Amino acid sequence: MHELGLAQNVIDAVGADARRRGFRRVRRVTLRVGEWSAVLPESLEAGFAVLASLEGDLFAGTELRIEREPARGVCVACGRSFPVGRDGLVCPGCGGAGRLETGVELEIESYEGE
Amino acid sequence: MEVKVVERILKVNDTVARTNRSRFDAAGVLAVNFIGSPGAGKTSVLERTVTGLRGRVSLACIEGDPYTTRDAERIAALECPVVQINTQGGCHLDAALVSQALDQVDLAAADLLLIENVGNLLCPSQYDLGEHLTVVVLSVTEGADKPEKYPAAFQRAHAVIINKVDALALTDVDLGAVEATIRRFNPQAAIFPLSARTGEGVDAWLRWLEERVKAAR
Repeated sequence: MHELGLAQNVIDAVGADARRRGFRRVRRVTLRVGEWSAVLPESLEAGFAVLASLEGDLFAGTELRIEREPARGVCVACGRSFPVGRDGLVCPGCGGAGRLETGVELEIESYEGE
Repeated sequence: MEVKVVERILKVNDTVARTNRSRFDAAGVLAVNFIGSPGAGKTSVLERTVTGLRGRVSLACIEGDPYTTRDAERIAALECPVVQINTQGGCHLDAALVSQALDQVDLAAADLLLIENVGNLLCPSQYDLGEHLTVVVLSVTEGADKPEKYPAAFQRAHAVIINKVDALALTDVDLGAVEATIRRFNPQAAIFPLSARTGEGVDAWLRWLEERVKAAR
C-alpha cells in the first residue's frame, strides 16, 4: 500500500550515492525484499518505473531487480534453521520456540552505475 | 561499476525512530505502539488502560487516524493529554509523524506514552516509531487465522491482546486455538485475552504494563 513511498526512498538513496560518485547512468538497482515485508513487488516495480522516468537521464532505462527473501526461523533451543510455513516459528526438529531469522527485509542490496 | 549498498529502504525512518527513542529514554518514558486491524478495539483498550492506570502512572497518548479526530476526542474525554495525527489516508504512522507529534507532548510529565497506529495489520509492521514495546490488538470476531495471515505484525509483538472475549459465544472461534496460533508465530509474546467493553481480563494486562513502566523510569 505504501510502495510508491518506498520506491521514492530507493531513488533518493541510490541517486544521491550515484551523483556523489559522478555516475551518469544507473543501469540496475537490486533490492532484497522479505516474504513478510508487506510489500508487493509488482507495485514496487511500477512505482519505481514511474518515479525513475521523472528523474531524467540518471535513471533512464534502469532495471529494478527484486530478490525475494523467504521467511526462515532459527530454533532458540537447538539452533536449527528452518523455513517458516503454516507451523510458524515452531522448530520442526525439536518442537522448540524459534525466532525469525529472515523474511522482513526491505533493503537496497546494490546498484550498477556508469 | 557495481556498488554494494546494503542499507534499509526505511533507513531515514529508522534514524528518526532512534531519535524518538532517545527522547523517550531521556525523559524516562515507556513508549508503546498499538497495532491492529480497524475495529479490533485499539481505542477501547487505550481507554481501559488510561482509566485503569490513573493515579499510578502518568499517561499521554498519540492517536493515529486516517482522517478524523474521533479517537482523540474519546481519550481527551478521559482528561488524558492526547495529540492527534491525521495521516490523510496514509496506511501507517511513521517515525517522522510521531516526532512532529512529540513536540506537543510534555514528555517530562509522562511515564507512559500510548501510540495508537492506523488500523491496519500490514503496513505498520514495517515502521519503527521508536517505541519500546509493540502490542498487537486482535479481536475474537476476526477469527483464529490472523497471525498466519499477518505474521510480520505478530512476530514483532511483545504482547498480543485478544479483545472482545465477551463476544466469544456469538462466534465459532475457540480462544485456545487463537492463542495457539499466536504462539506458533510468536512463542515469546505475552497474551492477554480480555474485554475492553466489560473489563474482564483487563487487570492482568495492566499489571504487565505497569511493571514495564516501573522498569523504564
